[in-house]
Amino acid sequence: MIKKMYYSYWLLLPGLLIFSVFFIYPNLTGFLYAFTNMDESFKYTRFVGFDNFKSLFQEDDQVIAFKNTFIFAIITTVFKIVLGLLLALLANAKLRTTLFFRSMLFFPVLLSTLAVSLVFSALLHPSRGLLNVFLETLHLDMLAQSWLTDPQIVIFSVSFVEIWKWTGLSMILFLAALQTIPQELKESAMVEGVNSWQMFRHITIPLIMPIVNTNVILSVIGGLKVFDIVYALTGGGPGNSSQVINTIVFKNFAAGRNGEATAANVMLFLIVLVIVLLVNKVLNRKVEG
Amino acid sequence: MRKKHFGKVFAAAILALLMVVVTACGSGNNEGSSSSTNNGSSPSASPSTPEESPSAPLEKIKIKGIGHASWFKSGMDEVLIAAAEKTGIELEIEKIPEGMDGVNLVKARFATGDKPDLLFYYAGLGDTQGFGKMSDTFVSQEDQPWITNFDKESWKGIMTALEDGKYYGAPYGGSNTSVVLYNKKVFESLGLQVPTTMDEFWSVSEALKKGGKIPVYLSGKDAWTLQLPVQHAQATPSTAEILAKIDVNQAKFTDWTARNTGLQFLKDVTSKGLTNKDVLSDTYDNAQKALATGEAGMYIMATWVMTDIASKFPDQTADIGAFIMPYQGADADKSYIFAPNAVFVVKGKNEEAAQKFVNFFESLEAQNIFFGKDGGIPAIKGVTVTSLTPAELEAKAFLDACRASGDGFSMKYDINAAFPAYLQDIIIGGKTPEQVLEAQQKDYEKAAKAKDDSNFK
Repeated sequence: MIKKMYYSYWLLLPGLLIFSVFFIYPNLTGFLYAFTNMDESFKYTRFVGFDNFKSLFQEDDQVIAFKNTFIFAIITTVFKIVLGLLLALLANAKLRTTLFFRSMLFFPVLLSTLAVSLVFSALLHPSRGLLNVFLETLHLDMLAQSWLTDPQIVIFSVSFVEIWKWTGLSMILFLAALQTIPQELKESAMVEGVNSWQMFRHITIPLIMPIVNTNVILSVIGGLKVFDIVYALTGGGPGNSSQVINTIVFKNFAAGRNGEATAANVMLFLIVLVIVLLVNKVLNRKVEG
Repeated sequence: MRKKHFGKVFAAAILALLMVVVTACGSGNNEGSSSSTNNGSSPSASPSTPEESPSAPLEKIKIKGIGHASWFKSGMDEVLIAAAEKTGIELEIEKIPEGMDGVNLVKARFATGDKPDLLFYYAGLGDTQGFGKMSDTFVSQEDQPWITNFDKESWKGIMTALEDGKYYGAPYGGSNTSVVLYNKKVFESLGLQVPTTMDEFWSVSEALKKGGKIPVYLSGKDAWTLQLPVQHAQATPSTAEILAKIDVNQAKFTDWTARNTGLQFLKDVTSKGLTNKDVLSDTYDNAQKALATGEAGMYIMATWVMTDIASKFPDQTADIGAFIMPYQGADADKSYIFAPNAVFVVKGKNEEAAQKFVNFFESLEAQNIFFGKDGGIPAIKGVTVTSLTPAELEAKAFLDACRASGDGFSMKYDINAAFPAYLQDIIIGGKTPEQVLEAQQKDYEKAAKAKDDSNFK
């Protein structure tokens, strides 16, 4: 009889300690602080019930942040998935420029968000920006907009920059999935007289569905938790037109309203949790189906 | 059996570790107060130590400071070199964004305990403004040698802490004042005179527009700059009265007519089309260029901008003049005076070295180096070298003629972090001046309630 040898549980201890200090403890206290009026001095901290949560939904500027977060998450997820898949199909084709094409499409992912934001701030300047100058050169002046300063369109402009920066990552994940599809399967389908659309619909999509699931989940989480690109491009402005939940967290924290900031963070956590569980359930059903 | 026993031991160990973590984190909060015994009066804080023994090799000490990027110009660069030579202290400055972005960042740093050795910040901080209790966080400057060369009485209430009336910040840079900076050549070429009433101001603006110039330049991308027209309107004694009432909940922000005047001006100048086209995309830098090159006629700013203009456009600096915005007219208006900014010595392991640097900075030697390069009116007595531009000299004349007010207007709670965004809201039509004042009232009440202020129960 072979005796099974196990490593001692004590080996878990260093990792668990670090995890407890930097994750479990801050998270648990975060839930607690959300129900207090804690400020930066910790001096006046007392229990305030759900006041912080109520306050988040009583002020227009903070309500806008929730609305913008959902708009941003939906738009960026849809475009990153659709464009990522299309680009992956293109990058999977056997062309002489395939390698160059893949590198070029992935390149924005490697750039720093701050650098991307600075470049796009210049490109999207209403009168000196390359985009509007180009449109005006083509006599398409009516399409030229105040991309980052018009409160009606600013969140869409920021979403566009996010899509430009991160579609390459979706593409690479899809590309990896596409390359796992057995060639024999495609060949036998072709022998059966299957056309390109049928091949895509009935062979490619079902086989890459687990990666679609992963990509959607990652994009939704990224979209809901967005901070850097918004803060660097617009700072949540003009006014409060492009505030998202995380910029509100930062704003409240900086104003010394730590309780309210933590409440917004808890709300974000719950929103991400619920949406990701729902999306995961729906997509898993499709994968299993 | 052994397995069961191990499980209990393991659970107990995890629990003990968590308790250690919680206790450790809890005790971290007391760090500031425990170090408070070593206050600014420590003997080694004296600036004379290195000079007393010139033959002894200087101990090199590196310290860190933080402040708005635009506050550190050539004058400070030269002071840093001199400080390293004379005191052995090498100050590394982290330059942070202007306005509320920088303010938010530095407050977040303090809130998380990631503190510098020196904080370059606005003067007159108090216990309720996001840095904790002043005496716990900063070294008092009351007993430092530099203060004997400083007019404490003049700046009392402006540069002192609200709670204990002590100086925690030493002056950094000179005092400044808000003015309308205008391009004299542009005015001359269009035959325009400095306006003395609002009617004249609008007429001059229309004439500038007709002459192909931008009448009033607003650099709204750097949202903090939008505060200047509003602060300028607040330069009236009535502001001090209304603020005292707002502090104790006997008046509302909506009663603050002077602020309303400034907000209304922003709304009007935008709606009349008398600004640059892309207000919210144009920056403080763009404004300097537009004013200096004559693309714009007027820019409402404080005199500190002249240091930048003088370094970037030395040949055009003399073309720029200053006048007081005629919100009320009939010479009743004042310019808004800004106290010097301040440098605060943060309590911690490097506080002695940081204090030594401050003492050197406030010495006449360093002040002459600083003001020989940078603008502003020195607050330290006996500075003989200054580099004031013509516009600054014109502004100084308003101060000398007692046509200045402001900066004693400190409030109990700092809610200004949100103010620039509200001003952008006025520009884009998202909020009316009244709605901005109502929003500020809400912010103020929230801040007061968070501190358990009995006036706001």
